[in-house]
Amino acid sequence: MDDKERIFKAYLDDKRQSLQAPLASVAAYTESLLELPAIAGDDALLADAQRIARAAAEILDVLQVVSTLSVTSQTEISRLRHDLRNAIGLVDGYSEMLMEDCGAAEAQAFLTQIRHQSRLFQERLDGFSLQPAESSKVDPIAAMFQSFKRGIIRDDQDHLTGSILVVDDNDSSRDLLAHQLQRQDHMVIEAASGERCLEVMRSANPDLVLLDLVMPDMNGYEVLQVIRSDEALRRIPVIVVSGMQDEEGAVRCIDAGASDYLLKPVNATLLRARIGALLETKRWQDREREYLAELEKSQRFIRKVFGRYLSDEIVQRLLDDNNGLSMGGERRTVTILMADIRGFSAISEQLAPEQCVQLLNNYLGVMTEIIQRYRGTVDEFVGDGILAIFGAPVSDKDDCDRALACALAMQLAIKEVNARNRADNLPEIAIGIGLNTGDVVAGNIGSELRSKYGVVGHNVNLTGRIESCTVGGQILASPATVAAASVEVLTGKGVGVSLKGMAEPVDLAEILGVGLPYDLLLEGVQSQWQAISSPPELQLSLMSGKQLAGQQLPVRLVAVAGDQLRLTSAASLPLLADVRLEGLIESCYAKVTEGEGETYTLTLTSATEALRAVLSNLPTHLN
Amino acid sequence: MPTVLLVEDNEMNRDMLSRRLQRKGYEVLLAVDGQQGIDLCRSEMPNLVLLDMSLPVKDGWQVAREMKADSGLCNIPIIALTAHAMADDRQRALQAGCDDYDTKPVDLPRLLAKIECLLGPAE
Repeated sequence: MDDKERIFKAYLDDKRQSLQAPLASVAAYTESLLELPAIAGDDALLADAQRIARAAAEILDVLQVVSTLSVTSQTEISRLRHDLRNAIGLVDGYSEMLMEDCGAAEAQAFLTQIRHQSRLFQERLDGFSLQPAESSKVDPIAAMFQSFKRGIIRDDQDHLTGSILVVDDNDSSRDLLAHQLQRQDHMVIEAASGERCLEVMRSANPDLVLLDLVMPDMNGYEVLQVIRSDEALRRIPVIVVSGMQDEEGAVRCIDAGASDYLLKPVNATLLRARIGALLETKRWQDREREYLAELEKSQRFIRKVFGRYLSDEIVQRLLDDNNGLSMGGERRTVTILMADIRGFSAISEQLAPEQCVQLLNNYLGVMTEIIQRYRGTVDEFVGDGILAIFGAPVSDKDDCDRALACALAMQLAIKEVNARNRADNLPEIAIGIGLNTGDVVAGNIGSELRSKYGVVGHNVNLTGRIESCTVGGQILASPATVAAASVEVLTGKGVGVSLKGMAEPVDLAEILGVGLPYDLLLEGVQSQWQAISSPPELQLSLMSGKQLAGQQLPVRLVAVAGDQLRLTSAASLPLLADVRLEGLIESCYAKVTEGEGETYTLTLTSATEALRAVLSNLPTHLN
Repeated sequence: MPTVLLVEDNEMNRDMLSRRLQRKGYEVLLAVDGQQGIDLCRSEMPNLVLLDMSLPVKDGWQVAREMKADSGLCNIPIIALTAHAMADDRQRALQAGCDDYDTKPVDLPRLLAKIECLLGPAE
């Protein structure tokens, strides 16, 4: 799945959930409706309520399809919209008829909720399209501020309305208040007791509560105390309404957490003003919470995008640092790790493109995970090559140690990669890893539109050259890396090489293991040398880079040990040179790893199963 | 009491809308597909047709065209109903010969206003 698809899927999921939410409420209220004696006891009413339930269930069913849509599903979306509009029309129609047919107060309350949710659903359905709205393309935080500004203008012009819960045990005074509020275009929910008030607050989440102080089961003070000690209810403002004409009562209510206090009989103008003020405050608070949620969402987004390249810890530090993503570079001391599959071009020639990608995915997947575990930054994949940085964007004392341990963990994990490859019918691979420590320029490189965090400099190029000296299964590190390590390092033979761009030959160290706290050791897989009884003559040609250079030299294959060959050659072979061998079943590539007199040790960099079979079947005697 | 023919294939929609119209004082006839709708128009001569556009056998677009081409039926007003709410649905419905157009889900006061506008208020 590419990024675009991923973003589209996430967008669809979000849309589906926003459509599902009001329908889930409809289904829940309908369930309660079906249980009411006034409905359950009347066959005709029950049948209509069941029709609402059926339509809601159908909609929830149809909504499952949303996740399967693609950007081009215009026909499907048109079909979907058609089915959903028909079904929501049923919810709306039957609930209106039930409101006409069933006067029971509880039924009316549920039906009011059902119709409210059904309207919400319709609004969302009308706004649904396969194209994310323009506004979602802009910075989510800037969009939030824009909606603040729009909000201010709109709120100044329009009278704010909301859902208001009226709690009073006295039917007539409750009705009167409800009537006043409905005339002011608020949606009114009623409750006749303190217990019921808490229930409705939890289920319907009203914008505001008008609470009578004197009630039989639980008085207003007690209700207030429960509300203020409940995390979910605390943010709903409560206006206390009471007939007790005393200031002391008002003070007690405010102490218990009421937002305001009104005396009966309630003056309509005063009621309007107080409710308006509280709804506005609440709206701002809700927006603030939305804003925070939005902020968290954008942080989650950053985490998701960068999380693929950076470890969680680094992403967190970038998020904490406001300037973490500005353009431009800085000089930093880092340890650079480069890894490459040996003989990848030869392997890829035998594979179909999709197999090749599968092989790379098996490999890069495992390696990325390891690099993140050691808090490295994957700077780049170039084909089969990995460039990882330890020490940027965030540096730590143990950058070099982690890089060394990471390289070992990567070599050890090749077993796992090869197990996957075997399962996928792909050839086994071996990697070489080069390590170097030094100054680089790190930063966001590129333009504002397309940039990536990366490193450049001489030390990066040098790492590439070190890496090219390795054979499969090997890790070579520059002297600077060995010197910078604070962890105990187990090294093998030193390899002195002349590297382009370096005046003096460099003594590279073969890394075999690191001590605690990592405690990683390469498994010694040194095979025993087997001398070949009648050494065959092979043709060797030196390769400069990827080009064949020079003429063919006659050599003799005298012994083999796994992927290592021992040759004798009259002509001198440069150490670490890449060579091509012909004369076995097929031509193959190798690197000169050791030389003494006319005897050289070469390590195969590409070997097919067929070639390995030929080598192991050569007539030999144990050396 | 004016008679309204509701042509609608979905059973629940038919039940719901017909009952709501009856409550508002209309006599409601029902047809489940386009052909049955035309047949009922001929035999019962309703005062108005509420025509769902996506119908089996013969769809609403065709029903509207046929009725407007028939000198016996062309005076019966038709209100097209669609759940698609495409911008050009309205234009297409009027072109097919419908006298008005409304979207599903039906907003009853809005639909009644359109019916009354075409018929005069129900008794």
